[in-house]
Amino acid sequence: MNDDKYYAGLDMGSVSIKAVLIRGERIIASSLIPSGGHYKAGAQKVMQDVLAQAGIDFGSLAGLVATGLGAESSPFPGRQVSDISCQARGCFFLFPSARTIIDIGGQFTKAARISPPGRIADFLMSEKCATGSGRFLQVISRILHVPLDEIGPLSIQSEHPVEFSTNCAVFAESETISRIAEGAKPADILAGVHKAMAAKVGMLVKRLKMEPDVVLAGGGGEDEGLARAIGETLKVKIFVPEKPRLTAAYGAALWAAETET
Amino acid sequence: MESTQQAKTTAVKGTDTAREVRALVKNIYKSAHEAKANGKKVAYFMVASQYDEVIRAMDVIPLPTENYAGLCAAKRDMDRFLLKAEADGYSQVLCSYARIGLGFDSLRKELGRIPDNSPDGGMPAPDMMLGSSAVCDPRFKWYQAASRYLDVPTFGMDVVAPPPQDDLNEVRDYYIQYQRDQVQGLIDFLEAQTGKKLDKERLWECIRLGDKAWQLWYDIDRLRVAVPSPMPSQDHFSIMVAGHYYAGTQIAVDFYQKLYDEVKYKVDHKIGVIPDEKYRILYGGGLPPWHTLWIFNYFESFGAVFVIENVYRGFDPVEVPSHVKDPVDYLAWRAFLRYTAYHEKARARSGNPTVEKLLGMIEDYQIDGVVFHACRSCRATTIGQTHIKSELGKYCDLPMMQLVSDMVDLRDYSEAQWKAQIGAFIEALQARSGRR
Repeated sequence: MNDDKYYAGLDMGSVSIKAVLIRGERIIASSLIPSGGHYKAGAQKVMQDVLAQAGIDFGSLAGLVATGLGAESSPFPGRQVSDISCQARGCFFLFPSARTIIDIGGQFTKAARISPPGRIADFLMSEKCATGSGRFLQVISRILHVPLDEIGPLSIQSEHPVEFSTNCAVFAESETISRIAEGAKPADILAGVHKAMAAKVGMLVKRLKMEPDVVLAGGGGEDEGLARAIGETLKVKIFVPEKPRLTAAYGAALWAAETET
Repeated sequence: MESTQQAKTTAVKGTDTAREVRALVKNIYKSAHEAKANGKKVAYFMVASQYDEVIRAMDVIPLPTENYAGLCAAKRDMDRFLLKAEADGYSQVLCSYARIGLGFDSLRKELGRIPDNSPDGGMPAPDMMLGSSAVCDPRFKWYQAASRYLDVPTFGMDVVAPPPQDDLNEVRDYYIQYQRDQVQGLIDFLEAQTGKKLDKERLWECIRLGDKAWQLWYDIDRLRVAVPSPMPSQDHFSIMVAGHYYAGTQIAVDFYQKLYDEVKYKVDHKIGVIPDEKYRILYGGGLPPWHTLWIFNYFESFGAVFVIENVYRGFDPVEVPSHVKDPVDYLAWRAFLRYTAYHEKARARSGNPTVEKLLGMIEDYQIDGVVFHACRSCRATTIGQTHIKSELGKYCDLPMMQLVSDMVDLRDYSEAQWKAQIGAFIEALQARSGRR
């Protein structure tokens, strides 16, 4: 890996678009914006951001890799790598002891067993079901009028988590409304949601034959209540990157560096 | 007029002979309509039920309802039948083949005619329905449920096999006798429905044709061990039509002879499915995604070819003892031997016949990775799939992936999810082979 060159990773997810610029293995700039409905414009915006932060132009990049659901819409030259591989690579570089990665994104949850240096040994994706994805949290956030970034801190204050009788996001929405009407506290409802999600994620990870250490990344990693619930379900310590939504973009940049070298 | 829609669903085939299958499929339904017009008996039937040659020998025209469901999915014209069955109260977790069949029968009864623009002219109302317990329970119960829409007699034939841990020498006679009674029961039923006696010489002739066709089919699959692969799995999912829907006829024999010659030529001249075959994939199980067969070509765009598969296969050839002189006895023996072919290997190692079969394929076909298709509404091919994948992992170190959708119900399919999974799977193959 060349320490003097710049490489970019672009993660075009369903909820947000992220770019990370690295020099060697070190992150020197990052940007994250909501995806909205325009992948190409979003990708251009985050790339402009990171290039401006680093004070370089696009021509200074030695390589770029795009990943995520919208990677096919990337307006930039460069190869595509799957988000599972990028997440694995990014998380491994941050946590070299990581052997299992959980990525909770806006559309799907993915779990992967990895081996050095962040290679996929086996992986599974959640089914076509919102309960296993960040979308579930968005739905509950809207109903409870609790901003997404406040869900985690509120959830861990719960003393009596609500037991959801369903593992379906659609039915959980109506059940949440019923529980609000019954007077349940938002903290207890959120803790119940986290428990339901953790059960779903736990099933996926157990099928994969989890090996510690376990890293939680993606948008779900920003929710400390969810991280705690998953840790309790799996009975392991969960490691969370400082910026879990950027790890796939970081991994993409690392792939770009590896490909180029 | 009901609305219909069509999107690209089919895969580009690897062999010329496979492209001729479409005509065979059309002929199935055309023959059924013609038979009805000419006063011949038509029967709904299930594939791999071990009774194909009996039906042919009795001059009953088989009408495969499972194939019709797959055809509807390939034409992306399944929703109206699925929704009709669900409106009639059938659960969305019931076999989607059965839901399409029941929905079609329900609509046909309601309209008093075949629903407009039905794929390949639709299915005429049968004179009888021949269920089977082979493979799964809906195949036995489906036609009983269809009696709600069709006032025709139903016969359900039980097809049995012992568990792998049984001592075959101890149980063989009991199973074969029971199977013989079941086949004889079917013959009695067909004789009553058609008003004619079974000609045993005719049955022997149909059996000879059936065995010959399946031997050729097996020989073709053995040719497929070649590198590069001469015939991919998407072709298999077409060419199986001859073996499963024309069993016991000269049509199947001629078809497989032609296919054999073509595949042999490709092997001899090292003509592969794609110019640069990088990875050889085993389709480990689960019914094929009839709604999205082009996905096999998507894999090929990364250099990955499905070289062999473990679903809708012909049975491996078996040797019925020479002392068996009666064709009904022969069918009972053959069914027993087919369903216990991997029991001995299973007892010696994993305990699971399917695992043994897959391990044999992995070795023979030089497999680089395994893909399973979990079908949400097919219990028979999906339950146990995760366990089989896990068991395989004990004996081989290959990338494996389970795609989830359904064999015909598009509502369970997500293209974005599949492409994301396939991308990661290809990267795992690349990493393993050092092709990164």
